[in-house]
Amino acid sequence: MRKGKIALIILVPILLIAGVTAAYFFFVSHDESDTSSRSIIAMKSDERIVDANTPIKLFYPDATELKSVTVKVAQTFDNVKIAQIALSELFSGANLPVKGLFPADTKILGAYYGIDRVFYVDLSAEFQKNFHGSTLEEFMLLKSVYETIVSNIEADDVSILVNGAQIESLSGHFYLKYPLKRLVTQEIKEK
Amino acid sequence: MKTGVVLMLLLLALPSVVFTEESPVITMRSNEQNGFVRMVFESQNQDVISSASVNESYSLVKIDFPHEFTFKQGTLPGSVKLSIKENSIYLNIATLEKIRVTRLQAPSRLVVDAYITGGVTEGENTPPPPPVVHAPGKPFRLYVLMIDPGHGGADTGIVFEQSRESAITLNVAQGLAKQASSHVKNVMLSRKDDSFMSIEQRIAEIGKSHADVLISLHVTRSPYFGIFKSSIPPYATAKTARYSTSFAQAEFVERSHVLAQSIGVALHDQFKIDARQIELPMPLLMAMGMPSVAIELPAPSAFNYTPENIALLSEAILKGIAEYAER
Repeated sequence: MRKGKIALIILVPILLIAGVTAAYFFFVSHDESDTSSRSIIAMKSDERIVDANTPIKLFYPDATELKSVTVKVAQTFDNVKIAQIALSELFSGANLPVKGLFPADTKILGAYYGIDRVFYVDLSAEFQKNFHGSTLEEFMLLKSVYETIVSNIEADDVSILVNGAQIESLSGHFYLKYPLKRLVTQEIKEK
Repeated sequence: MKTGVVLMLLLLALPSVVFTEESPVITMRSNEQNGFVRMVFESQNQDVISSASVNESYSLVKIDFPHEFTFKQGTLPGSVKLSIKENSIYLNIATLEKIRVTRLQAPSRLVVDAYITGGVTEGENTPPPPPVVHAPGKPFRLYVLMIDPGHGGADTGIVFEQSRESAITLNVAQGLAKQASSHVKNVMLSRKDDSFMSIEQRIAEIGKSHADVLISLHVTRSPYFGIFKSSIPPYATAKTARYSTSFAQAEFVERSHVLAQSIGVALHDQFKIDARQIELPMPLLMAMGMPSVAIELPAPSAFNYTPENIALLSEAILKGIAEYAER
């Protein structure tokens, strides 16, 4: 009776260990290759998220036309952010073939959608202060800002504020106090 | 007794005979081309034409004249039915899309262009150019010129190495005004010193002037002249153009184009420098109820703004306006 008890005490742990070992080899060790491939997939997926880029279009003036370049920026699903990044890229001119097209040192102070789906962009005073262009240059500058925004995000119209306020005009040729669409979507006809 | 009654009747009838004015005569000519009908109402009485109002509702165009008139009608296109009631002329125009109204002077004329469907309309690639009314206009010597030197004050415009746009435009405007004063009836400047004027202030000031022509002056960075004229934006229908002061230019677009062309030719002839003509929706031009152009002068690096050259420049611009006045 006593011998039987001792045998049971020894046998049960042995059986348990054997069972655990068998289970380990059956489940864990067997799936090792799968686990590694899964982690590779996960790793690749992570890499994809990290490397994911969103192409954005920048429109810049070229005489009486607009030309565009596409640049890749870090992926984001926030429209306001996309517009801000696009404008920063545009104003910096880093990826444009021609430099100095936009007023130097212009900063984007803010951007938001109005209830009328007009997209408002608040720019620093340098946008006005550092712009000294001709009639056509002023028109094309406003047109490029408008096109850059509406080609990257959904907006019915675009309105520009300077230092948080509406101003009458950028340089005395065109109104800036109204949204831009009506103005800049008009065709330039030259003889 | 009988003699007394007759005398009384004569006395009563006399004032009406004495004070009855002869009603003005309005002559109408019209022609139909592919896509539009032009109707010209002409009168020797300037007041009748200048005070006439034109209203459009669907296919009906109503022209209200301030007085009773005697009407002389020429041949009328088949698409137009005309009727007269009191001081008004009613035109029923089949398939009317929109109208454009222009007032011309010497002799006074009211031109109603009715654009109809079924023909070639504006905006298509091959529209027949609407015929310019080649009648003698107001003599150049009777013109009132409005000159608008662009920018001013804190708004310097383009800053060049040794000058700024606002100073050049003021210099040229003063030179042009001086030279023009001996050729035309009156010359006005929208600003006379280096002070800031917003676009809206300019529109209000110039609008009050009732000038015959507006010349707005700017300077460009390029070595060429640029002559800007307004176009009618696609969203400005005949109705919006009539009720919004922002599109007062709608009635004068054709004349402004003639003005731009005349000045462009005169500048090119004088300086052998290209004068590019560009249609742009400049709010100042669009709001003007008179033929208007903006001239962009060449950059100082390409054009020496000496008093002699400014005099030549003024001479060329005046020659352009004088030629325009004859067209």
